[in-house]
Amino acid sequence: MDAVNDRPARAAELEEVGVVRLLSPEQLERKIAAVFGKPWGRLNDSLAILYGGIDSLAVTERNTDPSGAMGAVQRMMANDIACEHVAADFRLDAAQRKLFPMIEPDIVPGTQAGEQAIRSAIVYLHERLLGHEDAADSPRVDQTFRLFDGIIQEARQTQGLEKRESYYCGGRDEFRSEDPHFTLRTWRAVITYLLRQQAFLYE
Amino acid sequence: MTRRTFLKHCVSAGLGFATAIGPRDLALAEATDDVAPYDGPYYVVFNASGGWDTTYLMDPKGIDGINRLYGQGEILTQGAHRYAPTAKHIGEGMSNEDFFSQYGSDLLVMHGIDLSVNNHTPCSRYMATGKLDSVAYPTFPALVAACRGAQSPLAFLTFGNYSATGNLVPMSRVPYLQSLNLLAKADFVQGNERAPYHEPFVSDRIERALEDQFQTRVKPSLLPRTQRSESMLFAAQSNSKTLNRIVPFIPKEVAKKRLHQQCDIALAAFKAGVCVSANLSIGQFDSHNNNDVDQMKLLPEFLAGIDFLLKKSEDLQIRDKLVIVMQSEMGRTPTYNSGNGKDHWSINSIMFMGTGITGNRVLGATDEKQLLVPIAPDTLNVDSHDGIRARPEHIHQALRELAGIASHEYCSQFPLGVKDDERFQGFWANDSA
Repeated sequence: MDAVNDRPARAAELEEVGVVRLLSPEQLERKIAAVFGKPWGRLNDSLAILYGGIDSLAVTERNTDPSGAMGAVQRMMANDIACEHVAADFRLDAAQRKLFPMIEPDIVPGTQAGEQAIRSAIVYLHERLLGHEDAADSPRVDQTFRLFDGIIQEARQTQGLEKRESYYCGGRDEFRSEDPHFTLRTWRAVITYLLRQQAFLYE
Repeated sequence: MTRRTFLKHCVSAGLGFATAIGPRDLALAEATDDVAPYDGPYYVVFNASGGWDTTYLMDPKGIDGINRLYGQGEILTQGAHRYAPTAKHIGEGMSNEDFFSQYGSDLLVMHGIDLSVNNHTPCSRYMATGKLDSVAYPTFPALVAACRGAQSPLAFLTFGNYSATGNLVPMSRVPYLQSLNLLAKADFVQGNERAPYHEPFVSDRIERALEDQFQTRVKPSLLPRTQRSESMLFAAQSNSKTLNRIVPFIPKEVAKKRLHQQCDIALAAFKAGVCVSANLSIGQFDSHNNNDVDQMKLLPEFLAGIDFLLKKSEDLQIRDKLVIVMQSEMGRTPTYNSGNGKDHWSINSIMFMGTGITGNRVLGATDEKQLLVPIAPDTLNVDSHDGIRARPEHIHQALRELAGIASHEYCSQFPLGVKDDERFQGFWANDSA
């Protein structure tokens, strides 16, 4: 399968090979429920048609390619799911967590042990969200780690950031998660980044 | 490396172009933050879904029991147009009298279009694409969106009816006006601009990380399908960010009528420069029972929707950039059935108006039995002896020429098979309009 598109004839032969299908709204909801423990809930409702679903009346064919509108729904979903689950997951005992069973919010990059723990957490997320079995030093984990590390570094240099998670993503009135190292918000960015990838949105 | 530079490098390296879907991918994958808003023409197709009764609109008969609501002597005219009188038969909506008096000078009508079949699905497909015997062909609005501005986030808007895209451009469905607000503000909690999900620098890093990830992923070693899906996904998410342009043009109040709501969404998208074409539709025209009651309710609603679009487009100063097609998938029989309804009829009419189209014109004809009269393609005069049977492919060939896309590679991928000597000459009459 190497360099399939280097030779047009070979590329033409492979044109119909493989299954790459955008998940329908219903399938995506089920996947979110399986990974995060509960569905998002909006893809079965108001956003179903926007996300290429059908109503069996006026709209009877599914979208197979994502439009700009669907791209916006994907951004909304990734933002919202990460917002709802990251701080909440960290509030559970480690053994009960679905997303972060092997990392704590006070672990930051800068030491070998810290980087190793963060990379292990990323490996776990890659497998849980994307189905990738990546090594801790793989290029894909490198990319995600760079995102994490870059945000933490920039947050340290940014004046005026709150030491708590935002109202909406930090538990609202029930609790308001402390986030002195900016790690909750950084893990939230990581989840957002992963949820927007093809490996999560397609089958 | 910027996104655009990266994509250009893909092109120069042959990536994407080596496959049948390559150029399309690259067109789609161009991010609109590098591209100016689409500035027209804007293409709108109004569909009277279910099959309209042309004899109660622009092709009146009034003889031999074809119409129970009026006789031949009551047929009205406006310039070149003849139309059925409906003002005294309707409740809500716009009468033919009002429609033709206001828009007759802009209106081009074509009669006597042969659909060959009379079932809803093939007729819808044929009228929408110009191709009867293939399910692969794109509808005209999808085709023109792909050719003119596939990188626009809502390039092809559709509200139902037959909407195939030929895999050239994604279709966008935005059922509610309020949905536009949510889409435009996807990075804010519940669309509240005071509550961003992420700090700006975090959002920026997420976007850059996704771009890096895309650049790493899309390479020649990927299977064509995987490469295509990666490219489509990246383009969809990147281009969706320009939907914020639409916010100033979202009406404060939601229109009550279904077609008006569709018009409002399409107009806001046009004005924001994020949309090329819109496929609007209202259904229930399939009047097998009580034809006159149904048609007198639905035709005025249909015309009122067109009127709404035109008037609001004037307010938005884009009316002179609109190209409007008004159609239905079939006509209705010249006789009533036992349920006072009319069944499917394979001879149809169509109406157009907008930029590049000379109005106050009627082409083609049906006879007193509502049968097709052939037309000479070079003169567009009816010609019973030497003329041809006008079919949707002739109309679509003319539409492609009007849109300036007839020689585009996408049109070549989906040929209509119209012989050179059957192409309608001067169909739009004013090529420079």
